[in-house]
Amino acid sequence: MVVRRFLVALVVFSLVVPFSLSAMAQEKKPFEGVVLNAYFIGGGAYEKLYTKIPEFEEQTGAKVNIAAKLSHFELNKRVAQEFASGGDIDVISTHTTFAPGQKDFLLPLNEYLTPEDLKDFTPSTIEASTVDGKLIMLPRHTDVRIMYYRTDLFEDPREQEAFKAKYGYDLRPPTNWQELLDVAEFFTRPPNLYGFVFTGGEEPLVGTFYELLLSAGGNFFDEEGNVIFNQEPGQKALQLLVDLYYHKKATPEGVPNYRWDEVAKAFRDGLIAFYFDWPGWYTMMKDPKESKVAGKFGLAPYPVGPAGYAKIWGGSHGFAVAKSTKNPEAAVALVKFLTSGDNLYFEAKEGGFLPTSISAYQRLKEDVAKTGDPLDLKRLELLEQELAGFVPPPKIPEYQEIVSAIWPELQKSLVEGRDVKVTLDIAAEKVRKILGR
Amino acid sequence: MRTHSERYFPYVLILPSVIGTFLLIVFPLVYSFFLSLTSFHLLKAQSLRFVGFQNFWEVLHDPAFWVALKNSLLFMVVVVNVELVLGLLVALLLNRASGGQGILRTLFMIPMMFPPILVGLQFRWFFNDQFGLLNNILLSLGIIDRPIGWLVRTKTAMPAVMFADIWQNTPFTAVVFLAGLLSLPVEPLEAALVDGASPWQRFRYVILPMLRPLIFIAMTIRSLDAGRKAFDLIMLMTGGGPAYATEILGTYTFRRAIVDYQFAYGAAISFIDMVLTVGFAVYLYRQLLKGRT
Repeated sequence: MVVRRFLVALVVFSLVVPFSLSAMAQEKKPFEGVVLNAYFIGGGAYEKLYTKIPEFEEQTGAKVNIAAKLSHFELNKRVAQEFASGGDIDVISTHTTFAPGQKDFLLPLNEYLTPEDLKDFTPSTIEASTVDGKLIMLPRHTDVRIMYYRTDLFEDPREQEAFKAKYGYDLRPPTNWQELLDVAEFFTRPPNLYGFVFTGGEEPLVGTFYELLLSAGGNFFDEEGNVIFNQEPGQKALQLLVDLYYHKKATPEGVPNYRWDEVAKAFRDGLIAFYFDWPGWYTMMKDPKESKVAGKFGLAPYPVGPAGYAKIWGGSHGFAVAKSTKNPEAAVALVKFLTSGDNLYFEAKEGGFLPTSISAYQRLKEDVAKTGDPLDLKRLELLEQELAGFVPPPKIPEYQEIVSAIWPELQKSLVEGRDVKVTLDIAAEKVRKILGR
Repeated sequence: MRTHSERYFPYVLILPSVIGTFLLIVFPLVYSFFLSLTSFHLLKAQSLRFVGFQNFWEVLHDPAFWVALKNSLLFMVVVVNVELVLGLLVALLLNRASGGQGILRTLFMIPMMFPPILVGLQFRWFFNDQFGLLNNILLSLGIIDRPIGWLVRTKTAMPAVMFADIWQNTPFTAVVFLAGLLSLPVEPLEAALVDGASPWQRFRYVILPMLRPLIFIAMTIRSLDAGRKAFDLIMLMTGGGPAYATEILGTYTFRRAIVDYQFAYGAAISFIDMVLTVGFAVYLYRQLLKGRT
């Protein structure tokens, strides 16, 4: 009898429990029926992270509709149109360079997140994502540049001897601006080898000028917002680029037309002795099928500027929520999910990115220490140092306009050797006009 | 009743194109003029304020605008003239070819069939300093000892872009002139031959005057087209650089309106561009009418 009762109880229990559990599970889904429209950056490596979205949908019951996957330039245009026309837009991909310009349309995330939610992010990336005290995006991965140099050239005893004979000190990856000029000049043997290369046009040129400006102790603006980049530090910064390009001709002549792809290609083709570039090219540089310098390059920190330190320009890709969203909680939850430590670790492993999550970074270093080559570990350590102190472009909505106005002026000094002070005064006047409007 | 419908029937027939014209041309034109009178910035909330002609005033005091305008005019004058002269030469040669005229004509038309974006890419590589065909040839012939940055020198960037445009568009003028040459009446030419006119005299006093209307047509079409088609070429080959050396009105408008989101400012530049273009078109059209009489 007892056994029978027990069996009946067991059957009833086994029937009831799964039902109630699944009912509980269904009740738990907080965003059932919510549809989030997302406008994301597209392209191979960026899209790996989006394969995790079904997990979010499963956990929360929300449905994520990726309305667009575009290059950042196209995406910005599309998002601007959606914002201006009051379109149905919830979550976007953005970047520390662009987010300040979009801030009128972005939800301040600090109103929805606790300090606990943010403690796994590298503090510098949260700082870069904060404009006027409002956290307007959550960082996803960060780009900071490091020095790539050719070990086969720098470690060649004949080169070392010749260098010492000419300059009176040992050849090494440059540690200050004077060494940078000397080494660049030394290795310039056109048409098959040049000392250095840099991005000589549009936003990449302004970014390069900006980090040199900071390393010379200057900035675009002082604390009151006055334009000061035409002062002495700015002149030193631009003079360095003009010396490299115009006077010493230590770069390929096409530099004013070079953007990211061209500088990286020039190094991969073995045309360049050393230069600064993003961490993302590293995998391609190591691949003998893609790169003539595979196994023949090393990594080093930036040379310090006249101010006695090196500041590195960088930026974080991230996600933001549109102010006009009808479901802020669900949209914030999606952004939080996409930038969780686990997902950023996954993305870094799959796409070779530099995660903004401290825990993900730690896991990457452990993985590399176990199996990887010493250069991989050095790369992560160098980047970690730089990540701690990188500087995003000025967080003002007019930045893009300022870039458009000043790069042609900077080029005038590069290609025609115009006096740097004249150039910077003209550029500063343009910037004052833009800000005064 | 019949007269009533007869009276309205033509209006009904043209109604679809009137609606199309209104939606696709008149409305955007009026709207962009309205925008040019505001301070509208795509990424600034509440920036749609009426500011009168302030944008126009600023455009007219913007040195970059004047550089772009000067470059646009220079580009148009050089490429249109070179294309007309070269096109005429090619047409005269093709006209005299005794065999294989069909094949030659097709071959000459190939550049015209490429979209400008491909032509831009092709010449970006052709003039590239490290990997370009031109520098490669010059280096291997020993004419230069280090590669020349054709697209980044202020003195060579514009000629390089012009070269690409001329390469692409000369076939158009050649085809127009060839069609003209083939349809010329033979009697005046025979009369000139009988009178003992030299080949140059026949060309100068018989052929050229008869081709004049066609030359004006080709010139009008190419002049109005030159700045538009060059946009793709310039964006791909030089991006308007170095230091504004190849910035034309189209690329400058794009930079201000689309890259900087200054829609109102961009609209003001395009309106000035439009007024200049329409003025120029009217002038050319009058010349064309004069040429016909």
